[in-house]
Amino acid sequence: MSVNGAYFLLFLLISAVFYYAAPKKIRWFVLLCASVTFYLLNGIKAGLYLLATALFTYLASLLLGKKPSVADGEDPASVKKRDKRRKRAILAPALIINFSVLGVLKYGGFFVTTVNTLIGRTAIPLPSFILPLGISFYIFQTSAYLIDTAKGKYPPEKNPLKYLLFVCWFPQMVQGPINRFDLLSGQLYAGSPLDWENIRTGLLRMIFGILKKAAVADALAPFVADVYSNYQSRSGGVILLGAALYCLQLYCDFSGGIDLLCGASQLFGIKMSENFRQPYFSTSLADFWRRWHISLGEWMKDYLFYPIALSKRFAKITKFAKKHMSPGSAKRVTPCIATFIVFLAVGIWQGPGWQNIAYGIWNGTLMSLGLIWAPVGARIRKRLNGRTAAVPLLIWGIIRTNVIVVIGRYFSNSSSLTQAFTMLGRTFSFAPSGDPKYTLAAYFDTFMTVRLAVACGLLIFISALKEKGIDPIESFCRKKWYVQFAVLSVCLVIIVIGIYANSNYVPISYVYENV
Amino acid sequence: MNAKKWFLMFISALLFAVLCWIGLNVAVDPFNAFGDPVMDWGGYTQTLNPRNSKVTYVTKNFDKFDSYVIGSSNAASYLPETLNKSFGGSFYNMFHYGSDTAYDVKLVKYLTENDDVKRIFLVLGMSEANHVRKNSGDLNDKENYRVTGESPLSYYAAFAFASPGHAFKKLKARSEDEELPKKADVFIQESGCYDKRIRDAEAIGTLEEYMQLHSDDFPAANSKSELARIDECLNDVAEIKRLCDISGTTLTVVFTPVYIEQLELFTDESIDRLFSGLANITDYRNYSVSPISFDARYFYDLTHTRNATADMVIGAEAGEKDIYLPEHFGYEFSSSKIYSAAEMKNTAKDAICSRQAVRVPVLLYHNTNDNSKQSTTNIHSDELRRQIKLIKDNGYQFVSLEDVKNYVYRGIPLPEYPVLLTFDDGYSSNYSTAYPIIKEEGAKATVFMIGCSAGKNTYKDTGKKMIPHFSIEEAVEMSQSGYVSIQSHTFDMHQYKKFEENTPARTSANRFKEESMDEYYNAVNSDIDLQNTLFTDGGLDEPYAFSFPKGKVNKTADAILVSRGYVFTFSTDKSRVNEIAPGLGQSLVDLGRYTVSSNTTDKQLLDYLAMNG
Amino acid sequence: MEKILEILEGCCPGVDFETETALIDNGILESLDIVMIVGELSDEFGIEITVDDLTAENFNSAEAIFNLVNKLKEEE
Repeated sequence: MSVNGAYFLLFLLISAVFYYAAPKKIRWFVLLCASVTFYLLNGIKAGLYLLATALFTYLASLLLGKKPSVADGEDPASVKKRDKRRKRAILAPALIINFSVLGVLKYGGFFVTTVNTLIGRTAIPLPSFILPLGISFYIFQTSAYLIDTAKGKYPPEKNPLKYLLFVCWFPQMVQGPINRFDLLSGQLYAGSPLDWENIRTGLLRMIFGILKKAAVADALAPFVADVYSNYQSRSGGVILLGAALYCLQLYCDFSGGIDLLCGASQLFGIKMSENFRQPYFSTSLADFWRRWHISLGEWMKDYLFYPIALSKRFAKITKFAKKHMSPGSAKRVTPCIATFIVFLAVGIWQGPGWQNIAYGIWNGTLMSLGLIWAPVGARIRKRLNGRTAAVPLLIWGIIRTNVIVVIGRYFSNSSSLTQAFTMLGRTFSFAPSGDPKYTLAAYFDTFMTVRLAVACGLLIFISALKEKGIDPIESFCRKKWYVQFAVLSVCLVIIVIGIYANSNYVPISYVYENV
Repeated sequence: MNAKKWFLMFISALLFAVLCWIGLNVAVDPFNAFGDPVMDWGGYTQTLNPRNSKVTYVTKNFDKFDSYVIGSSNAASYLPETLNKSFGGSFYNMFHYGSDTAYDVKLVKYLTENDDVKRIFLVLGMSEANHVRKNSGDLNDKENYRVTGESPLSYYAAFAFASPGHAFKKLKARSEDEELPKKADVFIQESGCYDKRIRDAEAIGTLEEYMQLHSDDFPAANSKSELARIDECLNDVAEIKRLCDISGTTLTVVFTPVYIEQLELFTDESIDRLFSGLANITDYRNYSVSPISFDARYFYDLTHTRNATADMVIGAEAGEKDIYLPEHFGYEFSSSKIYSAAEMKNTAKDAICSRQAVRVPVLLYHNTNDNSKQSTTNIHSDELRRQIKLIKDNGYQFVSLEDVKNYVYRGIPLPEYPVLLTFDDGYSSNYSTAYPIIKEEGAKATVFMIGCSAGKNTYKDTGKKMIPHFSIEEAVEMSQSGYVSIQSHTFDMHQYKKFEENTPARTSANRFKEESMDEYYNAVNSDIDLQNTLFTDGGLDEPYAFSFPKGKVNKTADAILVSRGYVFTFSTDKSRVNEIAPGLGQSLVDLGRYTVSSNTTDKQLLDYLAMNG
Repeated sequence: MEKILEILEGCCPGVDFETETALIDNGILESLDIVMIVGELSDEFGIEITVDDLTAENFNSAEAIFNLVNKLKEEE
């Protein structure tokens, strides 16, 4: 069942009715039934993969969460040490197996093609694996759970069905966010009381998400798709426009989908983690990665960056570096390496293909350079007059960051590395159009331009409110009832007539739905 | 407002949105399910879904119609206008896309049971006995519940909850719509027929020219098969007869003219089985095979007869005496008398071989002033007289426009070597010099006058001198003599740029680049109106012949002129062979003419006449 | 304590570490800064700061960091 269609709304309605009708104690079970139904409608085979991961991580977590058996008179320190060794022996293979599932299903084909290309012939036949819905998200989510239970952050969930709900809670399956057990599970199992404020916030958020996706992302999609498939004959300027508008499309697609699904989750009184925080207002690349796909960034920080950056091996590297460099530079070496590794992982996470790895390298390199540049930048900022320099510096930061992000999108949306470099080459050499019949007007007639302009204007306005700390939903709900009714009516007329009832509108699946 | 109340408000807003959706579909009504209350654009809705739209329309207008044409697009050319004249009553053409005799049965049942139907005019073609158009299941193929028996609720719900895309398409088409038929709007709501204003004004010359122009439309038959559904078709016709008998409705069945290449797609055996089977159900006249089956000019394409052709069928059916009818046109089939396809084809082939093509050369003169020098546009009277004598001595006979019209429309034969004599602009010298010569030599001529120059020797209001033009009184005198016909060279579309105050100057009947199609349409129509007023006020009949200023022909102007009742239009194309086909008014459109100048030699003149002989 | 302030300012110049009490909560110290600081602290005081120690309570102010360092020194 596509999240884009009217059937999904019907599904939500039915699930919500059952949810609030059921006694509080078994409400979590209603959510489980709904989630399993939702997932199985996407494919039985995919469901089996999910079930396998859930079962496996459930059993592993029980082992990891077991209290160590204390022999009489044993020294607590040695108990701790023994336990740590036992846990490591279970956690490491468990994580390897869990990530291998993702690795094989998602990257198996890529690995095989690469090997075949290196050898020069089709030595290994190309496998065809299905990619279960949300696998890039739930593998990470369950791995975090394993690591947390190993650390004793919280006891593992004993009820297998309750744990399964945590793994397959349906709003998070399409494109995340990657939720944490301690934040999500309580809400899932408690059974929320019927609070009309949740319904209200949820519905408003869903409306916002639907409009973002349909009115902006899907409207830009044909133009962007054309630029990326016909890049060899598009002019450098058009390619640049395509990459820039892809940034807008991706934001409205991804965050719109998140809004729709977080809103859907909110209908049941369940708040998921936030994933976006006005990313195009970022003043530096580091700032960007704290505002874009936040749940992935947080996962990487907590489970990859800190562990490797604070590991003993890296401490040794720092020591080594201090012997050969100034202390100021030496202490930045391991953070740079760790950052680079993290962004390489982010690149790989995007999907198979060298262009995604290049995307990771692009971000990792610039983040590391940013770290090395930081003290220089601080010195310059000190020199400049604080108050007058503030705004220009801010604007410079925003422009610089967005340029870096746009260049990154040359890689992440291309189908090959050569394509990305060709596109870059054409842009920077101001290559002319190779297709005399091509016009921008074909994609951007008056109606489209006006509607995009209005939508972007509203988006910027709402983002600015959020940046200032104002909750747009809250402030909307405080307006007079006839204002709200008018706005709601306009939105719903657009949604009903333009989207759900309109057979001409063919929704495109979310970009991150297939990752 | 608390959140619970907010939710109720949300539900009302949602209901409002749904109502807007339904409202949009009902108000715009692209398929005419609700009577198209706001836009009343039958041309569009019938183009999109003729079956549904026409039933809605006639149901609303049962008091207007008492007779119906039934059939597929084979029946499209049977015009209510012609049928009303020949049969009396008030016809509506219910034709639909694609043959479907089972649907026709249901339709006849509905019409005869709900309206007092005097006559059902059933048109059959090859396709009725060969296939049934598949219903795609989309809304543009959805049939009216009154005919199918579907529950009105499910019918209205289907259209009320249709995708808004259809409504938007209609609104967009409306903003782009023009007077003359465009792809989205090819029907005339009031008659149920195609709007063929453009194709009915296309110039038709020789058969070879026509075949070259329309080679894709008349593919040669490359296989032969049996007609696939003869029995079903016959059963349906029998049922239609039964329904008409019950309701006391006269049933007229005709088999429409068929182009030879379509006939050749089917075996003679199956065709004979169809024809004889039909004869056993009802008497009917079979126009399928006749000499015109071999002449593509009588068809729009392989499977569609021209309106002019259907007019001939109607005339033959009604026993009209004073119209042109081809030989061996319409065999009377009954249970006691049938004809085989082979014998009908042979008869037609013989007739067509012995046919003689009729061609009419046209000569063009302008000024005939003895006091000015001879030039490309001025001939002296003695030269004119000499040329007229030369033409007569070489066996040619001057004919009038009426003579040519009578040949095409009433089949009255022309002399073996006809020639038309024309004069453009309407100069005074035509009255003072040419007219007496024409009378004396017993010739016939047509003068195309510029309306706004009548009786003037200065250009409009400018006071600038120009060659004098004869007055309306002088025109009336010439017309009443019987030797000269006064026709139109536009009222004011032959402007002289140097003197003209308006910019851009309309020096020909062509559309300006900046002019929209609708603006141009209005400009041409008002010029026609002004000319008509000038003529009738002066005591002349309204003109029915038109010569293009500067010879600049254009198809749109032809379409407008023909729709306004013009019969002839002339260019200055001296290479055009003016072959005229009886029964086809289009062969009088864009007739070419040879401009006679002071340099014209006798040989050139006679060669032109011979080319058109 | 002096040393701690020195390390902090060495990693993030321009911040008033003496009075700030929301270094983590207000996003003044970011993950890269924390890693550098932890590296220096571990080196300087010979302690082992692990991922589990990276909480807001432990790093929100210079004083909190001071307390953490002392606690870890005792455990050694």
